[in-house]
Order: sequence, then C-alpha cells, then structure tokens
Amino acid sequence: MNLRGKTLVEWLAKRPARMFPGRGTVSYYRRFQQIEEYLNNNVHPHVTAGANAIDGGTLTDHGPEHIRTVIIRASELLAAGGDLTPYEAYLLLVAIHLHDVGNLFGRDTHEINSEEVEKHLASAALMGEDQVERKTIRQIAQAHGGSIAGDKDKISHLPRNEAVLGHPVREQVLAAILRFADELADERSRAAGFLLQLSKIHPSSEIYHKYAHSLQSVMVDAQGGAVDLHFDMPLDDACRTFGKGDQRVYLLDEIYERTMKAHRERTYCMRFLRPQISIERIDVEIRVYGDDYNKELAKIPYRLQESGYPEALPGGVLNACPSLGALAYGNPLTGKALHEYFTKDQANDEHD
Amino acid sequence: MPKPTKILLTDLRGRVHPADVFVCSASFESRSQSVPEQLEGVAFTRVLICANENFPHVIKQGAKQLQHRFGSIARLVSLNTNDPLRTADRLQEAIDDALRSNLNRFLVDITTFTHESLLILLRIFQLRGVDSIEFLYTTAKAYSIGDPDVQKWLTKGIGEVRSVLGYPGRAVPSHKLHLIIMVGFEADRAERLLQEYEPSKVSLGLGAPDSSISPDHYKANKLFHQRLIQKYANVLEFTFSCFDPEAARDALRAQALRLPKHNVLIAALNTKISTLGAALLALEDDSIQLCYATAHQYNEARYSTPGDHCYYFATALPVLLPTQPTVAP
Amino acid sequence: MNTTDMRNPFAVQTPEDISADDIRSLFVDVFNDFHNINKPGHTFLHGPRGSGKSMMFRYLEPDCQKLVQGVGLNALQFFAVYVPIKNTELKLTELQRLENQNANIVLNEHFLLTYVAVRLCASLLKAQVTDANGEHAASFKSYYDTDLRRAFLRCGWTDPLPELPPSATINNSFKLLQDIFTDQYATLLTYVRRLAFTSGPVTYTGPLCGYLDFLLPLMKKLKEFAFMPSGPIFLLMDDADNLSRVQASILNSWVSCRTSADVSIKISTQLNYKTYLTVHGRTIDTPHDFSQIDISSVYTSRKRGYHDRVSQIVHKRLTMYGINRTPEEFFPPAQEQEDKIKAIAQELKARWDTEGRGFRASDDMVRYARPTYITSLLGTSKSGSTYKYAGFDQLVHISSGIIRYFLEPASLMYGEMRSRHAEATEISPEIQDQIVRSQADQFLFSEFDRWSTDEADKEEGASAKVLDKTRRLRNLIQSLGGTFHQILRSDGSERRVFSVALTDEPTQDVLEVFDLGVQYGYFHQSAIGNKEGTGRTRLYVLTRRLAPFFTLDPTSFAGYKFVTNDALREAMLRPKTFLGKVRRSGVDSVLETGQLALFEED
Repeated sequence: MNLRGKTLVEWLAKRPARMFPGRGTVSYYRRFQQIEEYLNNNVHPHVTAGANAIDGGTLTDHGPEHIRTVIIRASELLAAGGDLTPYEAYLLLVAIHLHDVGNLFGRDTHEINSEEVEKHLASAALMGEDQVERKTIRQIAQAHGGSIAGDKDKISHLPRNEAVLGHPVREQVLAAILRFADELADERSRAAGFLLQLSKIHPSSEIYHKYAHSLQSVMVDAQGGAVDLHFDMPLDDACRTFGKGDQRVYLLDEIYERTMKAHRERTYCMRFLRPQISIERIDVEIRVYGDDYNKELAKIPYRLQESGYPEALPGGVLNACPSLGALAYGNPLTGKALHEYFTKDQANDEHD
Repeated sequence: MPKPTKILLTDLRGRVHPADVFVCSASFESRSQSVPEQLEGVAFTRVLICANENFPHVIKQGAKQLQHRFGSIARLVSLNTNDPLRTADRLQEAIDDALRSNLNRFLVDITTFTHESLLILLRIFQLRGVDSIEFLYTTAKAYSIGDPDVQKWLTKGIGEVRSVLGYPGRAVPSHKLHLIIMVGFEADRAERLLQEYEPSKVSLGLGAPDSSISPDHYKANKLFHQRLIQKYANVLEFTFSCFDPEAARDALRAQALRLPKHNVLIAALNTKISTLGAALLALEDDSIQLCYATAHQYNEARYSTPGDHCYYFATALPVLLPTQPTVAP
Repeated sequence: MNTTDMRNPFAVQTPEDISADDIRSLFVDVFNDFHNINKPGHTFLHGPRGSGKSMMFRYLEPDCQKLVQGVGLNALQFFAVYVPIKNTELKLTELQRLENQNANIVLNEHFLLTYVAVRLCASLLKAQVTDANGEHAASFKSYYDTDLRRAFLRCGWTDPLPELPPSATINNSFKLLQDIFTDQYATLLTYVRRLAFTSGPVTYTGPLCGYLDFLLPLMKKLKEFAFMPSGPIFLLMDDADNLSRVQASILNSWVSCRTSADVSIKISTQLNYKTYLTVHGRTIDTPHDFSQIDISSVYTSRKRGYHDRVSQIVHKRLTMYGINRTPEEFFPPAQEQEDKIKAIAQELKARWDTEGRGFRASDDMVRYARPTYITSLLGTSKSGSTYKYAGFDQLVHISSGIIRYFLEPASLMYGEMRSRHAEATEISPEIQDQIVRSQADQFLFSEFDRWSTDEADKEEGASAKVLDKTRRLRNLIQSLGGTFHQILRSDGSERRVFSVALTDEPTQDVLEVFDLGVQYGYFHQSAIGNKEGTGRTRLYVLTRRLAPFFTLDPTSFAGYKFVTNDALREAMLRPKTFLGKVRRSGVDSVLETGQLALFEED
C-alpha cells in the first residue's frame, strides 16, 4: 500500500469493491462512511459528557476530533512500510471509531463496553450482518487497553492470522496499530482549553488536560523509525502542582510518566508490527517559556529507546523463570538440587 | 417404491429405463466394468466416470477402460479419498453441469463407489431436488478370493475416521453415543470402530440370513457378534437387508429408536445398497450422523469376483428438511 | 455393578456409563503414580487406548469424589467437569470449509466452547447441589439476570434470553443454562450444515463466545458460589486427539492462559495430539505451561507398580462378582510347565558356581530358566506352540502396561470358560493360552495381511518407494520378532530381548515406520544412553502382546540390542533375507554388539 500522504480513509475510498468480501456486491467504503457518519453525529460528541456524568471527572476529548487524530496517526505509522489489505484497512478504521465509545458508560473497562453502541449500529443495518466480522472489529478495538483474565498483554491473545469472509486478516497487527496510534493521539486539541483557562476542570482531572495542552506537537517519522514529542509549558505551570485523582503532581513528572508509558507501548506494539513498521525511539523535548512565548527558559530533551547492554535480571534465571520451580516442586532447581535428584533416583531407573 | 429387482446382467440392456446421465465409478474391482459393459452403446447423453485420483493405477486402467467404452460422451470426475471436500466439489460441479444442460434423469451404478462418495452423491441429489434416479448394483460371486471364510478381508487397518460430508448429525453434547455398525464380514474393522468411538451403546447389525453371501459367512458373523458381546458391555444386535434400501432404512430406524436420548452414529460397512438405506434414514432425520473410515490397505488383487446378477431399483430421496438450506447450482 | 454386566466381571465398559458407586468399588488409586492429575495446574496425560485415562477422569468427577471422601460438594478440593471428545463429534468434515476461508478460529472456538459449556452444566446437574433454603438459587438468579445476561449480549446474543422464574430451584437454573447452550450448539450445527456444499464464505449471524471473554469469566463466577468447592474447576478433556488441528490449537491457547488457580485443564491423548501451537503462533511447552505424564513410560519401567495395580483391579472385580479367589488363583499358570521351569532354575542355581554368568545365582535362574524351557520345546521343529502363555504374572506382562489389554482377553477367557462350564472359579491354562494367542494373531493381522510366501518373495527387493509404510512396518515387526526369537534360542547372555536402540541417526523413512508402529501400539518409544556414553538415543520396545506370536518370553523386556539404521532398513525391505542372515550368521553380526541389563527385575 502506498498512502502517498493520504489518510487511510482517503486510501480506502480508492480501493475497488472487488478487493473486499462479497466480490463487489458490497461497498465497504460506503459502509464505513455510514458508520462514521452515524457515530460522528450520534455518539462521539457525547462520549466525553457521558463519561463525565458517570465518573464525575472531566475527561479529555474522546469525540470526533480524537477519532480523526487516531486515524491520522495510524496513517502516519503505515506511511513508510505498512501493507494492509483494503479489507484490513476497513476493519481497522471501524475499530478506531468504536474503540472509545464504551466511555459513554464510564471510563472503567470502557474498552469492552461498546456492545450497546454496536447493537444500535446493527439495528440500523450499518455493520453488516456477519458476526465474525463484527467480532473481529470488536477484538481489535478492545485490545487498545485494559486487561483480560488479569493479563495486560491483550494483543497476544488475538489470532495472528485468521481468514474472515474469505480474506486474510492480521488481527494482532491491526490491534497494535490502533493501540499505538491511540497512544500518540494525545495532543493539545484534546485538552478542554477554554475550561482550562477558566479553571473549570474538575480537580481530579486537571493534570490530564494540562498534559494534553502542553503537548504541542506529535510527529511520526515512520521512515526514520522515530516519534518526536514536543512539549511547551509556561513558567507558571512548571512551578505548581495539578490535581490527579486525589493527589497533586507536577506537570514535568506527569510528562515523564506519560512518555515512559508511550515508550512501553512502543516496545509492546512493535513486537507485533516489525518488520513492516519499526519505530525504535521516542524523542522528547520539553520547553519551558516565560511571559514571552519566544523566551525559552529551559529545554529538557531526552530520548526513550532500548539501548546499552541489557541489565541482568535480579535473581537470575531462577527468578525470571518461575516454571523452573515446577521441576523441583517449588524449590529452586540449583545444581545441588539436580545432583541430589539424580543420586536419589539412580537405582530405580531401569534403562540408565 | 417397488422392491429392488435382481436381474441377469445379460438382460440389463433390455430392462433399463431411458436416462440422460449414467454415473459409475472406476475401481480396481472388475465389478466396476460389469454394468458398463452391458450398457455400452445405450443412448445416454452423458456418462460421468468417477475415479479416485489418489489411486493413479485405477485411473490409468479402470477409468481409461470405461472412457473407451463410452467415447465422447464420457467425462472423468476426479474424486479423492483423502479429500472429501474435493470429492464433493467435483461431484457437485458434474451434477450441476448436467442439470444446467437439462439432463435430469440419472442412472447410477453404485457398485464400486466408496461408501463415502456414494453418500455425498446422494446428498447432492437431494439438495438439487433431483427426483429421477435409478440405481444398479452388481452382486459379487465371492469376496477375498481364495481365503477361508474366517480370514477373508477386503481392507486392512483404519486410517482416518471422519464424519461424512453432508451428514454431520445433530448431536446433543449431554447425550451419550449410540453407535450402529452395519457389519459386513470385516469384523476386525467393526471392532476397530468400536474401539475408536467407545460408545455407550453399540448396535451390531448383521446382514439378514437370507441376504448373506453364504450360510458360512452368516455363521462366522454370528460368532464374531458373540465374541464382542463377551468383550463389551451394552452390545445390541439387529438384522438388516443387504439388498433392499428401504428395508435397511426401516431396520436402522427401529434400532435407533430403541435408545432415545442418544446421539446416533451409523457406520455402513456392508453392501452399497444397505449404505443407501443408511443415507435414506439420515436424509430424513438429520439428527443422525454418518461416519466413514478410510483404510490403509485394500485387497486389490483378490477383492471380489463379479456375480452374474445385478439389482435394479429406484428409491425416492426424502424431501429436504427446513433445516437444510438449498444452494442454487 | 450394572445388572447388564452380570455376565462378565471383565467386560469393558466406558467409564462414563459406570455409576459413582461402582467406580468407588472398582477404581484403584493411581494418583501416586500420576500426582499432577488431581492437583491444580494444566496437565497432559498421554497413554494408549485402554491405559485407564478415562477411568481416572471419571473418578475425579464430583459424584465419585463426594462418595470417596464422604463429604459434601463444597468440601471437595476441586470441581471436575468431564468433557469426552468422541471422534467426529467436534471434528466435523464440514468445518474444513472454514480453513483459510472464514473464521476458522473464532467459529471453532465458539463450537468447542459451547460443547464444553453444555458439559459444564451437565456436571453441575449431576453434582446434585442441595439448596434447602433457596439461597443458592437466589444468588444464581441475581448473577443470571445481570452479569451473565450482559456477557451473552457482549458476545452478540440477539435472541431474547429465557427468563429465570423466581421460583426456579438451583437445578432448574442449571437446566435452563444447559438448554441455552444446547440450543446454541444446535444452531451452530445448522450453520455447519450450510458449509458442506458451499465453497465460498458463508455469513454467520449467531453469537460468538470466546474463552477469555465468556467461558473463563463464567467458570470463575461459578467457582465463587457457596455450593462450589474453593479449589479450581478442572476441565477434563478426554481424548483430545479427536480434535481437529485448529481445535487443538484453540485448546492450547486456553492452556497458555495462567488460570490454574481458577481453571485447570487436564487433557488426555492417545499420543496423537495434532499440535502444540496456539492460535497466536506460539507453542505451549512443558513445564512452563503444563505438566505432562506418559502412562506408558511410567508402566514400562522396572517397577512392580503396574503389576500391583492390575492385581488390585482384578481383585476388586472378582470380589464384586462374588468370586472369592485371588488373581493368581483365578488365572493359574500351567503347573506342569512351571514345575519344569523351576527344575531348570534349580539346575542353573546348582551350576552357578562353576558355569554361572550372572552376578548372582538368582540372576541366572531368572534369565535363563524360562528361555531354556521354551527352547527345549522347540527343538529342531517348531513345536513351540506347546509353551503355555498362562498364569496371572504372564498375562500381566503380556498386557504391556495397558490395563485394557489385560481385561479384554480376560473377558474372552471368562466367556469361554462359562460357555464350557456352569461356573467359572478359575480360567484353565489352556483357555488362557488359546485366547492370548488368538489375540496376538488378531492384533497383528488387523493391520496387516498375512504374509503368504508368494507375496513375501515378490516383495523382497522392492524399493522403499514401492513398499508403503504399512508393509514396511509389517516387515519390521516380522524381522524384529523373528530376531528376538533367535536370541531367545541362542546361548546369549541375555535372551529376553524386546527392544532395539539406534546406534546412529535414523533416517526419516525409518523414523516414520517406527512412528506408525508406536501409533498402532506395536512399539513403545523410550530413550536410553547411547553406546558412546555421550548422550541418549531412541529405544523402541516391541509390545509383549506379540510374544505368543513370535514365541518369546514375556516376563521381562530388560534386554535390548543396538542396531544401525541400515540394518533396520534392510529389515523393512527384505525381512526374509534379514532373518536368514540372523539365523546363519548370528544376531550380533547383523545388528550390533548386544548389551545386558545389570540387574534383574524383582
């Protein structure tokens, strides 16, 4: 696929219908447009408000603008080396649209609460009637966060390759693209800027809006294998704390924490995306400015990447691999334990 | 429906009704040539010669011979005992092609089809609503030529055991399994199936005494039954007709009804006519599953010698159930 | 015991059909040998058909455990759900249409899951939960009306779910849930039916439940109810070889989840499990993901464990039938034969000082007495058939570590005795011998046609390409069996040889034939230290069920011979030539130098 600067949606529009299930009898692009229109008109504008009503905080924007940003980020990731099929692109785009609608019912486990919205889409005959296709979309969308059976590694639980309606679908790849694109979709436009100015953000949510507001640009250089994040913070913001739940934190510390998370997400998602998509580092630059925006008071650059010689894991192999305990019934399987094992059992073994 | 008629092969040509399509199966058995030999020159529009492509020597010899008999109206339909989906697709293509050409009357020599491909063929006929089908079956004078009765064998070993495509049944997971085996004289094979499935109940069907190959065969089978009754608990017995499909169907139905609240699985190891009986039952009652076991070895050199007679009959396939969706050709 | 089985104390019954009372009476506790089975953790249990796997699983079911332990359901250590997988029940040919076409994984998972869910409900019903004050019913209803309904909806359930009436008992509730899953299974089968003659993808409009998003949460929730044991739910997947490859990979994906504290999956196979890959492309491995037991390996070792097990099993069965004899009394040896063998043993003992070969006199007695006796019967003519394979010990040895291969012949022997006598308080040695020989015959020739001289001559010299695997296996068995017979008759230090170990790396064609032999039960595969002492090599043990056919001493299989790959190929292609060389030039010149076991079995 060669996006040539287009977004995934624009690329999808140009794909011939015969490249989708149904052999040209169904226009998947039109179906996508109808889903998008329905959600943009009826659902996305209310997600933030719905979440706020249930959780009591002030959620950053999860509306149509956020969806657009995720689509742009996904397109940027695919720009250098992605090769999705048209059908996979359709599935990914619909999954992007659905991934946060569960926030209507509260932030907690929102990633798995999209079924009510799906039901409405289904009853409006917008999703197609095949349940396998719908489940595929749902699984891709749900893998963007949360945990399953206590395991945060949700993408690994998806099939690597599965044919859907006669077309191969790489669910793990699509889920990883969505997840990482969503991670990179935090930026200034997500912050409730006006409410920030008026200090009308709920105290428990202040830091999230501040963080988003300070993220001045996100640049994905898929060719170069890098993501650049630029933060701007005025002096006032550098010198005070903001509400986060029932705590108060500095913006710089929040940036550290969130960029560290982005680094973890990058490490995690690249596992499923290489060699097609390979983002190897995140470059961060934080600028503190004074009353005059052009007067730079401090610049804090750093790079997040896997580098250097790997550190030895504390406790060595025995600590890192609990399964070794199973061989020795829970006791550490040291050299001495092995020696004792063979010495004790030697006489009983017929063939040895 | 009138009972199957046993006629001399040499009288067949004069007795057979007009048909558009003659369907037969090439085989290492010389019986595969018995009916075609008599029907060479009959005014069929098309002849479908089914042959298993994974037996290349069968294609080379048997199928070639049949093609030679029927000339330009003959078409080879490649089946594969290792690939039932391929078998089904090829049969379906061939039947659909015939129907598209308005060829609606079928005459089928079922003698040397595998049990599985015969069952698939019947299912396709039912799905297409074909209602003019007549059948021929050549008897065997002897099986496992030269071997004493207790050592006769047609196949050795069981390879894959699978459900027959088109007859998946409607098992209820909480119900137990009632395995019905229509035993031929391959007692070992029947026992292997029993070991394979470990059913709660097993019904061993004996070919009725008046339709057995010989009284000695019937005696040998009876002994085998006794042995199995000693070895396994819960073994039931019944008899069925080897040469009347509707009677075979009725016997199977009665046997299945003896044990309600069981999932019924039928293994047809006897004549192709009795297999047709199993198909008739499973086509009318889709809760019944049919299974098929491939063999490791066939007694190719000494499988059978053809008899002088054949059975000629028609039987109405059951109407498609509401749960059976039709698929347009 | 079921009244239908009054005919025969050794009749084989599927464990599913045996009542909890009878299981308690019949079952011999084997969990010391297989200690992971009844403990939390995923486990694979491998063993040939008839080795007792299903019986173990049946014993673990709640109805049996309640009786055995004499406690209520919630005092048990685990709740076992028996899930038998019959061939062709889940592995429907129609499902092959999904491969590389449409939703092979997600539909097969839903199919498998629905099946398991029905069995889960069946187990709950069978457990007969008591609920005097309706407390359990009420809490279940609360769960059903909220979380469970939600879970169904999340999986795409669009049909209205049945209402659980307030008056429903806990067992009514389980029945209702079972009906939901049973109906879903039937609906799925209707979809499957549509696949049969359609080559393209077929739209599926029903719900789709997955293990992680539906079944596991359901089981975790059920575990929390007060009537359930506090330990994990065990899913006992019996005969998982009968799953298709994709279904096996789905099951492996379930195993790869670290859920042992809540759900432990116990999987039995007959050594023909299709794959250890998950649907995510990883493999599951032992011990990281599961523990593993091979029953054959446990019971083909030197230990007397198996002998004692069989003795206990037989004793229990005889007692249930009111036959007041020990297993040794019920299956007496041919006394005259045993007396002669004892006499030979005494002679060997007397000569040990001067002519002894073993480390102890008893070694020589055990090693050589019976082979010497058998050889003396053979003489120059092949009258070895007068040797009697009779006596409890011999029958145990012949069964080769698989309990069914004791019980099945025993049932035939009993039937034969009863056909001749009004009562059977013992089985005559003649009948024992007759049945054992006919079983050996049948075992061999169920797979292979009999070797007629004409055909054997025709096949000699045929290339490996021409001779298919089955025939090569037949030839191999003939060659090795014949060789072992020659060893028995020889003057070798160890005459009771049933095994060969490879001196060099086996070629693929040789391995495939042995694999087929293992699959059919003609061989058991093990490993042994190689000749150089630098590692291990494969060891193949011929089943002692064939001892009567080749006139071998079944009472030990300690001895083995090293053999080259080339020798084995020769044996597979030219068995007549091979055996001729063995007879003329001696075993070692054809195979390799022989090896002895150092100590005799106790």
